[in-house]
Amino acid sequence: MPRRLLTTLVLCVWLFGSLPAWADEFFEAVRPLLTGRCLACHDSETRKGGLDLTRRATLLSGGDSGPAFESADPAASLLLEKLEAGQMPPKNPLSPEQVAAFRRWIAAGAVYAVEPLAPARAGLDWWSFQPIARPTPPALSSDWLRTPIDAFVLDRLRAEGLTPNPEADRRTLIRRVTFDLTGLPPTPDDVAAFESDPRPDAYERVVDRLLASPAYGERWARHWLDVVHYADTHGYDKDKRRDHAWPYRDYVIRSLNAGKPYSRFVREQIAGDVLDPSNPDAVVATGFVAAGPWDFVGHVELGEDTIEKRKTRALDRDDMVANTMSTFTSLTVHCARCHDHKFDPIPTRDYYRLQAVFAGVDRGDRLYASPEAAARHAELLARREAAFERLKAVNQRIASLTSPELRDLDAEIASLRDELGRLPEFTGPASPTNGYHSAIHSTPDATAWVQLDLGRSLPIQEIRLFPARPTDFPDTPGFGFPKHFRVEVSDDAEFHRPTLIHRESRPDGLEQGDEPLVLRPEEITARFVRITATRLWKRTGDYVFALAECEVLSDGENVARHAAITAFDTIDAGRWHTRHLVDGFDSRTALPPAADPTAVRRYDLLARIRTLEPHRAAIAAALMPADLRIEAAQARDDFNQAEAALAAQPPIDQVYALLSHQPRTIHVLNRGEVDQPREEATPGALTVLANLDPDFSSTASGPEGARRAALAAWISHPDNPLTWRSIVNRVWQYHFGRGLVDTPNDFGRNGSQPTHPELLDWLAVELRDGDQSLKSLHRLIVTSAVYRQSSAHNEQAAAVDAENRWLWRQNRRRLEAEEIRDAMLAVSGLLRRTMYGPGFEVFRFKDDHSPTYDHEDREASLRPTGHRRAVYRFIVRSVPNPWIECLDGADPNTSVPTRNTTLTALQALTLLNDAFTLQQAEAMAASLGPDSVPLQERIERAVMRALGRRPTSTEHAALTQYAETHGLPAACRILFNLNEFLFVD
Amino acid sequence: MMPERTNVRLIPRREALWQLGGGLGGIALAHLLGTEGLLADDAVPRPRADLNGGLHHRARATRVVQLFMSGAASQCDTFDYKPLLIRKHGEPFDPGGTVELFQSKPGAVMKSPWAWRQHGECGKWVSELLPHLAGCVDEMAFLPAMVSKSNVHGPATFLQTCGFVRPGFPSVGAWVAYGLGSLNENLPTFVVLPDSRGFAPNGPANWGSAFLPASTQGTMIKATADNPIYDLHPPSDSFVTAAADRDGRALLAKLNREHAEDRPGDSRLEARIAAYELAARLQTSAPEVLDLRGESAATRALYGLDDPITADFGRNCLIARRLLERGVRFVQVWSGADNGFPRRNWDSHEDLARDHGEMGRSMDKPAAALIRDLKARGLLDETIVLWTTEFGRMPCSQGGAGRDHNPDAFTNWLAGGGIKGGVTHGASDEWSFRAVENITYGYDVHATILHLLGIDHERLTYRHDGIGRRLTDVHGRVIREILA
Repeated sequence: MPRRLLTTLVLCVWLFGSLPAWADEFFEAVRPLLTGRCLACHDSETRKGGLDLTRRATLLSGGDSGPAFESADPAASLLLEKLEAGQMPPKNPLSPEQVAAFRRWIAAGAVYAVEPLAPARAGLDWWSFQPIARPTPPALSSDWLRTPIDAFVLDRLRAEGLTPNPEADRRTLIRRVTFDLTGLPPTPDDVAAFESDPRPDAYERVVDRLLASPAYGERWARHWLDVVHYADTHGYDKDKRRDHAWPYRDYVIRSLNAGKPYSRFVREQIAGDVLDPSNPDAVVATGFVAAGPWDFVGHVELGEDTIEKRKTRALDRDDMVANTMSTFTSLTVHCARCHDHKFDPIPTRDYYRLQAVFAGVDRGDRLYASPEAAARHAELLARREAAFERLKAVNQRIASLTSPELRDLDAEIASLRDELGRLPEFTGPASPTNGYHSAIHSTPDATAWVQLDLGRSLPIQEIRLFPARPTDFPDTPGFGFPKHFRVEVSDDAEFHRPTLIHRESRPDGLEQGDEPLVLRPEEITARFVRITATRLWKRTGDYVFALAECEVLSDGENVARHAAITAFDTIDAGRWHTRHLVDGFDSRTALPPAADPTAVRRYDLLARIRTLEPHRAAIAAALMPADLRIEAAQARDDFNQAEAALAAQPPIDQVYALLSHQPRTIHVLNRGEVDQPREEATPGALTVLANLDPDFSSTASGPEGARRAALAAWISHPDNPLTWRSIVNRVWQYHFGRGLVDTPNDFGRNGSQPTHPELLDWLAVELRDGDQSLKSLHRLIVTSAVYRQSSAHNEQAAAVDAENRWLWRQNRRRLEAEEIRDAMLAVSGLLRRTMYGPGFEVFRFKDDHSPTYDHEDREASLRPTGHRRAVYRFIVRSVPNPWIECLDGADPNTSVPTRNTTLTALQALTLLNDAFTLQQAEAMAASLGPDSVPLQERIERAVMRALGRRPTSTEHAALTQYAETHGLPAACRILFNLNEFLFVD
Repeated sequence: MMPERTNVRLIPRREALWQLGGGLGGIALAHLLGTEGLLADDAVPRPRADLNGGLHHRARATRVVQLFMSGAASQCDTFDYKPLLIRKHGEPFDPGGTVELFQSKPGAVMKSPWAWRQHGECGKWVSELLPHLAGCVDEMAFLPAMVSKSNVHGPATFLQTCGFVRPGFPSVGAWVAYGLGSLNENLPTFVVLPDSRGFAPNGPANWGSAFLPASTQGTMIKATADNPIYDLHPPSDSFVTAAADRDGRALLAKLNREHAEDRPGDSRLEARIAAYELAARLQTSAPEVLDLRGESAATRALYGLDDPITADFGRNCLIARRLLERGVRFVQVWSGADNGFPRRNWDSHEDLARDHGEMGRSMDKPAAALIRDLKARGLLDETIVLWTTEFGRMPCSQGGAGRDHNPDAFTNWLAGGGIKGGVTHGASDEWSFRAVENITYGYDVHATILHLLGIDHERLTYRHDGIGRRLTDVHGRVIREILA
């Protein structure tokens, strides 16, 4: 069809020198209307009402209400009827001229000169891309006005024929603004003081007190963390802990409380580590980039150079791009990953330029410290490095000493190694286990041992210790193999009279690698074998002892296979267990049977090399001249001292943030597929903003951080209209329940348009050109008359504007999950106001290959450590806290710019029956006073605390009677379930 | 525990259901205040009685049970018979092209440890691992050319449960609950029965509602726990006596009603009152549905409740039937827990005969029982049974006795409402290594299920983050070849 039509059109042009009238009509008038006004709902994807207007065929088949075009009687077509009646498009009907154009086109047969049509993209003239000009507030006169904000709102209300509500009463006002700014209820004293304060600025004083409270940062950080999808675990399969994520959460709280200028807040989160490297806070801020989920299995367990690994990394960068651009610029840039953005002028190329900005970024724990501590740490590291270099040089000189005897020995060792290298590899089935692993120690000089009971005393010819190389540390041969250790045998389990088989102390840098240690004691009989580590192996920040397998040869048989294992300490988790020390597998594969001739030969070679090497060392030592000997001792001593000084340093803190490395090459990917790379992408930002240079390609050759610094500058630039509109809109939304643009993460064509565009811009300029502190913005908003008006219903106004888009009242809102939890703790008296630090865990945790987070464990859910504000909760991505989740808590797997509010039966059950709710009710009852205080009075106190007002006499009587019959805790439980407790007017 | 309701003003049942939009889950009266999805122009979907409860066309089925084999059930040891593997057993695996495995290098070709036989009128080959399901092949439509977009458990499991390889998207069950609402007034719309040994990769995120209203999320039932639904009752040792509960709710309703009367024009306040009434009904109906004592000895034996190997999965399958019978829309039953050791799911890297042997025996009889039982009760016609897993396993060995991950060929099957029995759509190559003919994805399975429920998968959308999200993203094709 399209091809034939096109052919026809070409023919027409050729024959008549112009297009036929119907085609003119189509191109000039109808197509722009269809694509611009209709296809947003009626394209082939959305098909609202079943109607798809992208093709003639689908126009003919119509939608739920029947065919949209009647070929027999075009004038009676449903499409025309809807357009003429002004029913479609629903918001702004077409002009009579536009309808007339449609009428002519339909009468001519509704022919699509080209099809299918695609919905129009927003152009560069889209509202959100335009520079912000400071609008002048309308000059109105009214007693109602308090701030310029009110003038903008009142102007619009008048235009709609609406009048705003009067100011709310003081109790309502203080409850509203206290929850709003701090997430906590006002105390009865706060309410009383405000109600009786005669000063004209009594309200402003309340606002200033609340903004100065540390609770302000705690409340507003929670909003920010919703948007940036922060959590304390990685998510996906295995969902490992992210124990150092919280410093970023604390950074947000501190920044908000400090009233940090917004542009700095933006820049620090994207590139603080490069813009202000000596400032620990700026390093912690980059926890933003790493806040989202991370696929542990894809990143850690997949091999390099696989397609799956590339997919994992591409999705990881996508999360960083989406997080950055949604959060700061309110654009859905990530929609351009597979194709040019369908609604906004964002080509796929722009998207991959942004991926290139993050091309050298991974997520992980990074060290940070105060500048002094960091400098001292660096200095000690350098000292150790230098000492190590000297040690290496001395050792090299020792190694170059030679004699005929040494040459013979070296030749012998080389030939043994050569034969070893030529032996065929034994390939057995993969190992399901790792082996034995001690407890984790914080110092290297701890003692840990593991021992084997052979059942009875047996002659022992050989002992083999197999080092581990666990699947989750694939690049770490010799994992856990101790630095200092001894091997002993005994006939008593307590080793009161041990026989020493082997003792070894290894200098740093000498690792066991993958080879087993083969020991051949002489003529010994024993029942027990014990391996004792006295200096442990260094993992990342701690020390362990691990072994994959231990074999004990007695008359050609591995008698360790049936040994009972005991240990000084053990972790026994996942693939690690004492019994895995003798299960016939090292950490990678099955071990060959004892009689396997190749294996026998291999161990024989290893044993001989092991006896020759110390022998060689002894001869070499004898050859050493005295001065070299002294120098070697000195170098060793220097190195040990540098090590000790480093170890004595106070621990450096860690934050889960971005790790910078050499950028990977980024290509534009066809359809987003990693195996279909197109041209290379250089770093850059969006091309939609005419006045800001989006090209960062000059940073491509510099250090990684330069790319991010360029993006940080682009986003935080005073002339970036998106950034400033985005943040004031978010703040407005949290104060009113709905943004001036009610799609806070999407200022593109598929999002909503601002209800009060001038107000939005005025606020943006106020913030940008003022001190840029969000606190100033809050103060401006909450002292306005719009904010202070009552939430009372008004039948006439609701008939005009049921959704309250024009703000003729304040919106009543249900508290968010965290506010409800905090409010219960506040009124029960159990709330602990400790700020900052690791998150509290109200679940039972069991570490494993796939860790368990059990939120239904009652003991855990009632822990006093959990009586802190909910913003300090340790957030698990895979297993949400059921209490928070059912009350519409934010899903940390995705950016949540606006919380849902649902009202469900499961919420009712949680608020009635959860052990936490009941614990709070009991605590509240106990805190209302001793039994000597009359019950009536305690009920009054309870209502004052929960609702901020005195009970009415009927409420008072009913609650007292109920408490008399069923106890005060039961009455407090009812208070927690009141709509008045859970909603703010 | 059932509170008396005499002194509670009952909202008319129909109105309560309408207000809460989805039975127990309740909708989403999403809030005047800025919920993107509901404020967008999209209306809340409304099932149409004239379409048998469908949204866009006539529904062929009204409910779904999804049996999820977590850890990746092998296709070439269950339903995808390849004589070549028997002939070439032990020989080098060389299907042409690169073979990229998850953990290992390709080992030799490995035939299934189980023998194969043809079954039913359709003559479908099934391995002896699954003798009971083999007896149901004439009910099933097989999809042996399934392909996944990831060979990693987490993302691939998300793809089958939520339609995306990343977290943050609603589960199929949540979409169905959102689109169609509830069929009953006493039980949740979407119920999940996890493996008794623990959660599969991604945990409850597999049945979350993500950006859809929280009311659509899967409600977890732990059949053998004291409190099978979280917070269904107060802890038995708490201060809340039955009388305190009953009188307390009456008082609560009275106070909440007075509060609402002072604040006209806000339906949310009424909806919260109704939510407490629904909660009370759930407290009575949930214990009833979990009480299996009324089931006959024959039924209990059919599901294998008398055998410790099948008892756990059998109990969950029997409960699934009871839930479906009572109008639960979507039930998800898990076979397999996390990827820990010793193996407790289908992820048989080390010893396939041992680990698939155990998982197969525990799943086979109960799953077959569910089909037979639903059929005997006349429920199979309106219930879709989906057997799925995140990807398949390699036809070559890993370490001699195990099999590594294979995202390029695996099997799903469907049975029941609107499904043509005894058919096979698509094929893998002669190795069962790559899907080659009529390839299908999780998207297509999801599109097909929605289609059978009377939903056009391209039209069930919800605005989130500026995007009209749908279950099938930009993909999905209804697999008409397997429709009856």
